[in-house]
Order: sequence, then C-alpha cells, then structure tokens
Amino acid sequence: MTTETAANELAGLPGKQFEELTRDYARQHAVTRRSLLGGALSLGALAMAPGFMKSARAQAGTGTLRVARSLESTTLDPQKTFNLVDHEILWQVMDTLIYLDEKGEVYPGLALSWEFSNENKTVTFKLRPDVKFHDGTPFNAEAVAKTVARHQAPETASPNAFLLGPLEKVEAIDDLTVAYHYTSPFVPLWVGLGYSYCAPMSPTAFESMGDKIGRQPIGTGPFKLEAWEPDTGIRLVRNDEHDWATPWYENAGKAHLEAATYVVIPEDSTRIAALQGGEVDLLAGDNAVPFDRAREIESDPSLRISRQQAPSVFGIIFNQSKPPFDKLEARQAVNLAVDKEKIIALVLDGNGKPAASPLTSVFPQYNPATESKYPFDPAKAKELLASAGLGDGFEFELIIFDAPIFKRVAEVVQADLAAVGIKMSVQILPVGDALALAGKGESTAVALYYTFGDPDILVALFGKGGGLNFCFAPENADLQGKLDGQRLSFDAAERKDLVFGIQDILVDQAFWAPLYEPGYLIASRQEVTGISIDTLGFVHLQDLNL
Amino acid sequence: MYLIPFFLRRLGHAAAILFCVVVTVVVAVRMIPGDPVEIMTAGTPGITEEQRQELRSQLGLDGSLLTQVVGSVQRFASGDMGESIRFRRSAAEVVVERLLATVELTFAAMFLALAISLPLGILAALFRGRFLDRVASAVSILGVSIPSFVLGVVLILFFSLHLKWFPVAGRGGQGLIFGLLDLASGRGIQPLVSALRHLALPAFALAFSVVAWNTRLIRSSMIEVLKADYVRFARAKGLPEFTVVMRHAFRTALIPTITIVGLQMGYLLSGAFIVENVFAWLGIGRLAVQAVSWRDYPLIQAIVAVTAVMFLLINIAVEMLYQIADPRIRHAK
Repeated sequence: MTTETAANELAGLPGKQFEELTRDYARQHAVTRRSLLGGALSLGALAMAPGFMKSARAQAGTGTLRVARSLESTTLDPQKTFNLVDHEILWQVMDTLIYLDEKGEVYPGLALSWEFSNENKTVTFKLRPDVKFHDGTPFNAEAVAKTVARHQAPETASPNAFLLGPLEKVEAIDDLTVAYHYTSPFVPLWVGLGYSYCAPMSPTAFESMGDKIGRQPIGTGPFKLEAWEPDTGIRLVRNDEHDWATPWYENAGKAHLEAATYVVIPEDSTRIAALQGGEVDLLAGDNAVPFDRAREIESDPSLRISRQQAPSVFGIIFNQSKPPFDKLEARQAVNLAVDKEKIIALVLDGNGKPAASPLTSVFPQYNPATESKYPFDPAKAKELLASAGLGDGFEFELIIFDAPIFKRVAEVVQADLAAVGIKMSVQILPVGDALALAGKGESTAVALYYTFGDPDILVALFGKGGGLNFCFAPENADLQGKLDGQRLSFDAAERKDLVFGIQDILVDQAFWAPLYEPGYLIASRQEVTGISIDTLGFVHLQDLNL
Repeated sequence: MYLIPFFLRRLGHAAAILFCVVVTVVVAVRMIPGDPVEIMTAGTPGITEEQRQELRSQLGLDGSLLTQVVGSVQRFASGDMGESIRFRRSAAEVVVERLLATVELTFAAMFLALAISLPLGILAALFRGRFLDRVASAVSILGVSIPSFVLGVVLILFFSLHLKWFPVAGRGGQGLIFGLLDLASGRGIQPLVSALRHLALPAFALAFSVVAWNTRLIRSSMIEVLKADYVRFARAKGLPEFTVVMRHAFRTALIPTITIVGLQMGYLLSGAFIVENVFAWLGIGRLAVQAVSWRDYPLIQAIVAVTAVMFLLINIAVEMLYQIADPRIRHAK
C-alpha cells in the first residue's frame, strides 16, 4: 500500500471511526510518546512521558517543597527545547490540550471535546472556558492559533515542531472553538498534543517578551514560575485560579503545595547530604538517586526511597554486519558468559532485575520463555566459541555512553568475558557521538538502554530503518512481517502472539545481550506525601504534599 | 608613570592572543564529530532526516565549515558572541550570569590560600626543623595529595552534616558582591553572612592544594633570603627582628610567589570546575563541559573567550605587580 492510497483510505473513514484509529494509535503505537532511549535520557537530551502511575494518596496541606535534581534546565520556552529537564518544569507550568495516561488513553485538558471533519484532515476542539494565562490574559482559540503559528515559524527554529505533523494551519473559529487543519489525515496527532512542548502559551507574553519568554514561561498550568536564577534555582508558586486537573491525578482541584523550588546539585554525595541535612525535601528527576546509595538513604529513619520498575532494558547491541558478531555463536557466547546477577548486585545494589528479552517484563506482551535460553554458563560459552572456530576467543570494542552506570556495567562485563577468552575493550563517548557512530554501522557493539511505554519500541530497535536499529542484521522477512503486523493488529491476543514471536527470533538469534531492567528511585524526607513516579521517572506536583 | 606604556603594550599582545584563541576554538569545536541537532535529537524515533536538516538550516548550522568559521569570527570581532543553541539566549549573557560565581570562588580561594600560606611559610622558615615547621610540612603533604573533590565531600560531611556550621551546597543567594551591596544600602548583614557561609567550604576546598604549594615555596625562599648578607647586616644594625623579617627578607622572598600566583589563578579557574560540581556552585566550569557535550558552538566560543580574557588580564596584573615589587625588573630595560 503506498502512502497516497493509505491517505485516501483514511480520508474516506467516517470521523468517529478515524478518531478511534487515532486513539488506538495513541494506545498502541505512539513511538515518540513515552520514548526514550536511556543514554539520551540520562544526559537530558530529550523525551517525555505523559503516562503516570499512581501509588500514594495525598492529604490536604500547604508548604514549600524543595527539590534537588542532577541537571539544570536550559530554556523554558516549550517550543525551543527538547530537553527532559525542561519538560519536568514545563509540565507544572503549562496545560496541554489533551492528556495521555500511561495506557495511552486520551483525556480532556484545555480542550473539552473534539470532532474530525473534512475527510479527517480537520480536527475541531471545543476549549475549556474561563481559563486565564498566568499574565491574566484569557485563554481562547486565538491564543491556540497564535501559539501554533509561532511553533511553526522558521525563526522559532523549534527542535520539537516535528511533533505537530503535517499541520497546515490552526484557525480560530470562535472564541472557544479552534480547528487544526492538516494536509493529510494525521493519525499520531495525540502524541504531539500531549507534550508540554505543544502547550498553549500566552501570545501577549511571547509577542512582547521575545527571548525572555524562555526565562519566564507564561502558560495556564497549576503552578506559575516566580523566579529562575542560576544560583537560587527555579521557584514555582501555586496558581490559585487553577481549580481543575486531568482525571488521572488523585487531586482534582488546586495543587496542595503553595510553592516548589528546584535547585541543581550535580554531585551525588552533595545532593544526598543536602537531603540528609534537611536542606531539600526531595531528590527527583533523572539520575537524582544513584543505585548504590539507596541502601544508605533508606537506613536513615527520616528519609524514604520510592521505587518503581522502569519500562526499560539495558543491553549490548551487536553489529551483525561486521566480524566477530556476524557469527551467531559469538553473540550467543557473550549472552552465556555474562553473569547478570553480578551486575545487579555490584552495580545496581539490588535495584533491578536480570533481563532476558530486549522487551521489558513490564509489558503483558513480554515473553517469559526467553528467560531459560541463556543461563550464566561460561563452559557452554567456551564450547560454542570452539565449535565456531573461535576457540582462542576474540577481541571487540564496546561503545558506551559517558555516564557512571555504563562504566560500572562495562567493568563487570569485561571481567566475565575475559574468563571465556573474549577480550573486550571499551570506548567511552558522549551520547550523541555514540549514537551517531552506532547508527552508521561503524561500531562493533554498543551498550544502551531505552525507556519506553509500549512494545512498539521493537520497531525502532529492530525494524527496517528503525531509528535505534544498530543491529545491521541480514534481512529477515519473518521478523519484519511480525513487527509490521503487531502495529496493525487491533486484537490484543493476536498482538501478544506476534510480539512473543518477535522476541523468540531476537533471543534465538541473539540480536542483543540483554543485561538488566533498572528501577526508578526517588528519595524524599518522610514528611513528603503523595509521591508517584511517572513512566520516565519524574514526580509531578499536583498530588504532592508536605 | 612607567607602568602605562607597559600596560598598553601588554594589552596589544593580549588582543592578538585572544584573536588566535577565538579562531582556534571556532575551528576546533566544529571538528568534533556530531553536530548540535544530531545530539539534541539523538535516539528520537519520530524525527526524520529532512526535519533534522530543516532545523539545522533554521539554526544557521547548514553552511560549509569555512562559511561558519568566517561568520563566527566576524560576529566575534563585532562583539556579538551569538545565541546559545541550547539556552536559546545570548551566549554572552549566559556566560556572564555565571562568571561572577566562578570569579568569586577563584578569588576567594586565592585570598584564603595566601592568608594561610604566607604566615605559615614565614613561620616555618623562621622555626625551621621545629614543631611548627613540621606542621607546615604535614599541611603541605596533605594539600598536594588530597584531590579537591574528596576534600570537598569530607568537608561537607564534617562541617555541614556533623557540626552543622556551614550549609551543604549552593551559593545561597547572589553572592558576596550583592551581599556587600545589600549591607551598604542598609538591607542588613544577613545576605553577606549567608554568602560568606556558603563560600567558606568551597573556597577552602579549592584553596587547599595552593596553600600546600605556596607554603613550601615561601618557606624555601624565606630560608634562602634569611641567609643573605643584607639580612645579616640589618640584624647587625640592631633592627627589631620583625622589621628584619617583614621589611627586608619577606619582600624579596615574595617575588617568586607573585610569579607563581599568576599561574595559579589559571589553575584555580580550571580547578574550580570540580569544586563547583561538588558544592553545586553554578559557575562556568560546569557550563563549559555541558556546552561541549551539547556541541553548543556559540556557547563554547563565549566561554573560551571570556576565560581567555580573564586569564590574560590576570597575567597582565601579575606582571605589573611584579614590577612594583622588584625594582631590578623595573630598571632592567
């Protein structure tokens, strides 16, 4: 089916049916949605997750929450960043038209309802009335249209405008009705609209403030940005006019907290000392709590660790187009020779579990049969190597990202592989360089982890032309067929079968050496309640209390 | 004044050096593999290569290496450092905002280092081989052998967590200068006290190894000078010991110290990065490392230029001090 006939077919669908398709896409196929790749994440390159998993209840109260994180924000102009640490703040300051929960269900936000028309090339939103931006100007259809126009303008040079899709223009029909006109039906529209990057901004503010808007974002969200200084951090104060919330928060009214401050403490030891000394209440965000310090924090009765398994797998990807990993036995030998339990004990201090499949065990489509395929068995690894004519072992270079966890994992792997005669050298690169190199097929093997909310990540990791496909495997029609098939399948059981089959192929052919599935860690003082961790490991303020 | 032509000449040299530094860095940053857009969108499955290319052209990154380099150098010459690709604001503004933090820390550390090492070095020389000399030796060995990040963490654990004398991290406000301004304008002493309390541990952690070097240096040059004939003559004249030591011996012994202080300022500027990291002191050290990993060309250029200017100015100042302290240099033309 060509793109054109596909577009024609979509144009012919009744609006309701098309909407069901878009919602389904959001539920099943949102590749960009909760993406991302671990290395990028840990270095703050990008990504976000509207998905949110609840775990605790908040009580009423007031107070200022002091949060310490490991990375600082760059700009808070939502259209000019693609940086996770910026999203972490923007999420509290901006509201989006719609919200997506962790299952990909679409919920109303600033848009209360919507309708598809014009051969599904137009979606018309009814907006929430009586909403004001933080600068007091009214939120309305014109504001939405102006926000999008700015997002698409070349002078904005937005790194995230691609989320908007083939959007031609946005038209204000009346005060509270706004129409998005696409050049062709755009099934993944909810994915972009759920990002804070696409949230409506006050046009009065961005027209008059110029570049300053990046230091003082004006949205409609539950918190206003009061100040942002490099030395004292970011201070958010409650927006008392914000008396609504998307249904997936416990707290449907105003936020409990009166204010929140975010300071950056890059050094792990100092960040933890600040929590212990009572200078901050919460360590949150990417890499805020190192795995090997969790035990120490928990032993302090005034502190608490909140955990959640991340939809994430850390593994080694083999480049099958180059020796030695063009040989199946070489790939399998690495799988057999590495003691995953040792990594979990030594590197993660128990905060994780061994991985068997490139797909995380969080999903119902995870195939448990993969677990028995490569037990820790150095003797068998040696046998395999001998049978493939690699009896003397071999040498290869592993590319890792420049982050402590990668280095520690590589040390354990290196020692285990040496025991079966495989000499692994390690090249440490910044994430962007490592990905660029791996993407060109110039590396032999690369270590990475992804974090993603849907099995559809397999398409990016193993599909033809997938953005994270660093395997360079010989063409495999069966695998590709199943990858495409699970995208189109609307039947849960059928999709599960396909995803099971994909994992069988990936594990039998040893595309990866999956090593472990990490967990998210958040550290807090006992007084903090209502902590829940979203699918990217962030804590949202709406339910939090002191 | 004999210093003015000297100063102008040095300023001319500095401008030439600065130009070379800027050209080198503009070329060098573009030689590192990977461009800002690739790194910004690394691992994003939803973006296409055309969209990346479009973003590159919107950010002005699509020209050839030569046009980019020439453009940057031209802008630089006209005083425009460009817009940071990540911060999306003037790169100069981002750097200047954090520069004060680094300058404050560096100068505080140098002040502290001299305040400790000068008396300690003099006393060690005067009481050579005695208890005080041994203490000074011990301090020196500790100073050169403890890395500043270890010392920083130890200081935090002991003085902040255990004794609770000092805050754990951060600058606690806008720093020393604004603390002084607040005091001067009658807004109370609180901001200044807070700034000093936040500054104490990081400045000490940064200063410690410099204390070690300088104590040894001052001790040995003092020992040398105290043996000199003119010191013996001063003593023979019956001058008080304090005058002999401070007026006659110390001034001469100070000359090698001044030379090395200039070099040490550069060392402190670069060493500040580690200490900044430990104490969450948001200066330009950490910014520099991030800017390189983001390939934020304008920001890298601005940081290098500003650091180079600082280093050059400090060196000019040191050379001038040197001339004031040592008449032999002044008249040796």
